[in-house]
Amino acid sequence: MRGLKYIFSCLLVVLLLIGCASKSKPIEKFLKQATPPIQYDPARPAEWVLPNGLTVLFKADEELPLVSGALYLRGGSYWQGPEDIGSVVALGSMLRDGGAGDLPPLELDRELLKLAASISSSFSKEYGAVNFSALSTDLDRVFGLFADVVLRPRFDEQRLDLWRAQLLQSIAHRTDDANTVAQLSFLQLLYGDTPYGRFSLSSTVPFVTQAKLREMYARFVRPSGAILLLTGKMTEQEARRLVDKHFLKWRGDSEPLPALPQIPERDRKGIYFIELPFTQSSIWISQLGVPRFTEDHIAIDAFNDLFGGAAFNSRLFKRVRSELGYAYGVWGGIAADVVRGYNAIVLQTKSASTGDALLASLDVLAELRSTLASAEELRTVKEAAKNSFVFNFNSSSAILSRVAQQRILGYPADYDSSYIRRIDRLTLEDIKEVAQRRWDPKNLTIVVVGNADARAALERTLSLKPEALEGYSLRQYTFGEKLEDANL
Amino acid sequence: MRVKTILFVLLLLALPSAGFALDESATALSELAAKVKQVTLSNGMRVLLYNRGDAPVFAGVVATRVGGVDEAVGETGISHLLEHMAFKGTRTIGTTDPVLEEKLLAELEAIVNLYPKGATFNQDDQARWNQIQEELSKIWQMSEFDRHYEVRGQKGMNAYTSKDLTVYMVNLPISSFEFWCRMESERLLHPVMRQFYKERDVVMEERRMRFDDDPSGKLYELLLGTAFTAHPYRNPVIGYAEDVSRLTASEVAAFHRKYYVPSNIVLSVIGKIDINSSVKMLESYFGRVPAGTRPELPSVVEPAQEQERTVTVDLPAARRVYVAYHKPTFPHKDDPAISLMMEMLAGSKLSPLYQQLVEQKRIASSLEVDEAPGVAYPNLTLTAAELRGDHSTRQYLSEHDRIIEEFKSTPVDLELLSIAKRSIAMEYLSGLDSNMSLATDLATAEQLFGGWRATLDWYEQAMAVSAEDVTRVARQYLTRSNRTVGTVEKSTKGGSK
Repeated sequence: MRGLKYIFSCLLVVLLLIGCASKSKPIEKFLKQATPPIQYDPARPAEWVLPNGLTVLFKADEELPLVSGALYLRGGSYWQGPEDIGSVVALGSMLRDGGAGDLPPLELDRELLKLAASISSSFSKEYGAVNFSALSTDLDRVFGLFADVVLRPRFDEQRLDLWRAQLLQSIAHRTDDANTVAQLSFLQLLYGDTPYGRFSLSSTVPFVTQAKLREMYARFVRPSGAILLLTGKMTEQEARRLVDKHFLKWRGDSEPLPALPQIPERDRKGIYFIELPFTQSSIWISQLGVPRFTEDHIAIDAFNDLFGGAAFNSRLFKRVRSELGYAYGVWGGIAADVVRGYNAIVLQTKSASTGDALLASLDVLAELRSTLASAEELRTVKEAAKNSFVFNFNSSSAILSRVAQQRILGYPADYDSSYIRRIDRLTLEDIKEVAQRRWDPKNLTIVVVGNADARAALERTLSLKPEALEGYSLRQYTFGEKLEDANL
Repeated sequence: MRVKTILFVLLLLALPSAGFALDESATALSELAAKVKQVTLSNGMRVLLYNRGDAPVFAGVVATRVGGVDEAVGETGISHLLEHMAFKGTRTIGTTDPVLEEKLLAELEAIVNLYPKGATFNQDDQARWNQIQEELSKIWQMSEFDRHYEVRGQKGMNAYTSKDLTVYMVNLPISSFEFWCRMESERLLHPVMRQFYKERDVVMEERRMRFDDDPSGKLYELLLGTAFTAHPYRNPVIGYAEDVSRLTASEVAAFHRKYYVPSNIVLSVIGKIDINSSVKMLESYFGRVPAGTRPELPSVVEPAQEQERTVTVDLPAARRVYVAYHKPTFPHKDDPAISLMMEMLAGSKLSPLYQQLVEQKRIASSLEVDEAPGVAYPNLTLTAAELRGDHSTRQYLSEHDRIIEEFKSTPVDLELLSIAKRSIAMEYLSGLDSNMSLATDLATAEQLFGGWRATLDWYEQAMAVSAEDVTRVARQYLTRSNRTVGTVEKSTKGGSK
């Protein structure tokens, strides 16, 4: 695959297994042994581009009598206006669920079920994807249906109405789940009335109509810049024949997507408390973050692992969960995004420890800003990156979808080939610099969803005037309000 | 049972079965199946191995036959808490001073044992307790066991505890196969109750998240406690709050000694492996674990249910209705037919329960079928729905029952039956693509059904299920007297979340 110049240097895999077990060696010595390098250079996919701008990537995989594929489409909810909320997500569902070609929805369902095949579709923030999988013997038929879903969707009114009804139901019950409330509130507080902060409300649902879907379809479902992936038990010749048959004549707008709006500067500092009767508080400590591929993006990856990304082995996990027993789930890191991502620390803790767990998390951040991490921590991050790299390429579909996503999200062409080398060059100072430069503990937006006990616990913590929370006050926040009405 | 065990499919696809044949794949698949190697180590530990794929990686699974069913009332949650403890390391991995740690941990337990379970310590003991914790914190290396796995490039390292089984899983580069053998055998040989009392708090947080604050979780727990009156399937795997919060490190250590013995453990290793050299390696590490006595399986038999039971959770959340029917499990001959029946009733968009309740009448916003809570003992088949808007649970149940009665009294839709069979087969076939899915499926089948090949019979029987079988099991099992109905709804008095 292109970009996979990274060679897992040489080694004979089997050699290891033949070598006799060194169980007599003490465990400490055994664990200090260097991990042998991994050699793996999977065959690159075939690639070609149709005159309409559709890129096709193909990789044969003979192991099972199955075929699968995916079409990645550029654009998503980030490009929708305030009057379009929910429309792009609906487009994603309705491509498949609304029927296609000659088949109304239920007949399409029936046809796929009879073939034991599946087609699914969705649109998220930056791209859409239509996937299929089937027995290789049914490739012709299922690929034809897949093409219908992409090219001739019916957007059946009844299914669209069902979609709206289900969305209304989930909106009505968002407050059943503390984490949903916290997550939507922090997005709203950070990004305000921009495509990154808006979400469906019961008042926006009726605007998702068939006409709106057709409009979104014309904007986002088009060959220019799209990537079609095909893998499984088929030949390249078959793949080319099928793609030509169904997609050669596909036409659509070829204008590039417009630039995305910036996020206005605004004071967001505070502890926003949303009172709901949960026994466990949901805490999101957040602030506006960075766009993708800043010059320190590799250092950010390493910081994330060390700080709160690597499941059991991060600082946050070790402190907040293992040492203090405050939380089952705790995560933290810098999530870059196309315009500006966010930094966050996320955890759930019992009401009584709401304030303590919040402070403990902030302490972990403060430590990484003031002192260097240990050499062993950095070595762990580097070795982990090196030794787990192979899992990005351990199946044909993993290899293909990685290429597609990287291209759609604008990854540098040498991202994979230079990744290990760049991680290896990182120093402890680089990690500390990320902590200092990319976090501003004086300007956090802290969202807490919890009950009256949680509020009391927070007030108690604030009354002790801890340095980490200097200048922060508790603000009541009502979930679901329009931002301009909120008490900010 | 619907254990998503794939290997049986491989062979079975080759078998002639009415209205369902994937002949073109049969040959290739049965060849794959023939490559599964089963060996028993010198201490009685069983191992399943399978060489597949191109990438130099493997999935390793350690499955112990211990779970919720093995827990007495008063100690529920012990298997799950033990699973958490397994990530704390071993006697030597995770501390800078194993000798001192052992002494201090023993002192902690001595204090615990001075009191009845759950009692508050007096001031002196509490002070001593805090002091020991302080000393321990100086010699502990947090998450050291995991750190070594990180260094080796692990993916998806995790574990789960079910009613029937505890499973530890990880994907690693094949160059770390010896490392995996060593680490996993070390934690069987030298478990340690490090940071036990903090981990107990962590499990209490997990409980709050999964049950106390989750309407579905809460309903599920209460439903099981109502549907089962005697069998331990009635108890939550995570444990009752009162039990978990009082478990002690000594109890958990004793539980480990009893259940984590070689004859009670199955390993499975799937990926780019060399079978013969892997077997030698497995023997040299896992073979060190001393053979022990295989613990007995619980013998409680759930008495037959005689009339409908109901349970309600009073919460201001979306209304939910779970309807759970008792049923036997494999190798009972009705098990495959029941799986197909439920798949037909609610497994796809063509299924009558889904079609009518979700699409047409729109009483429910979602509807699922499930088999719960385990698969080793007679269990439940259930439909689970979230209701839309103001629809009442009574309205839902009356439609639900009408559809089921109609299903029982009209000829079986043969298209639906064929779709259900193909869907089950495809599920297994697709699962072959993942080392981890294969590894856990093989180990599960080996542990719970007396050998992974036993599941071949299940598949064969499933593909041979006739329309008459479906009608017969529907009439026999989908009855009111055989079921428990659980609901989430807000009473007129209101309720607290």
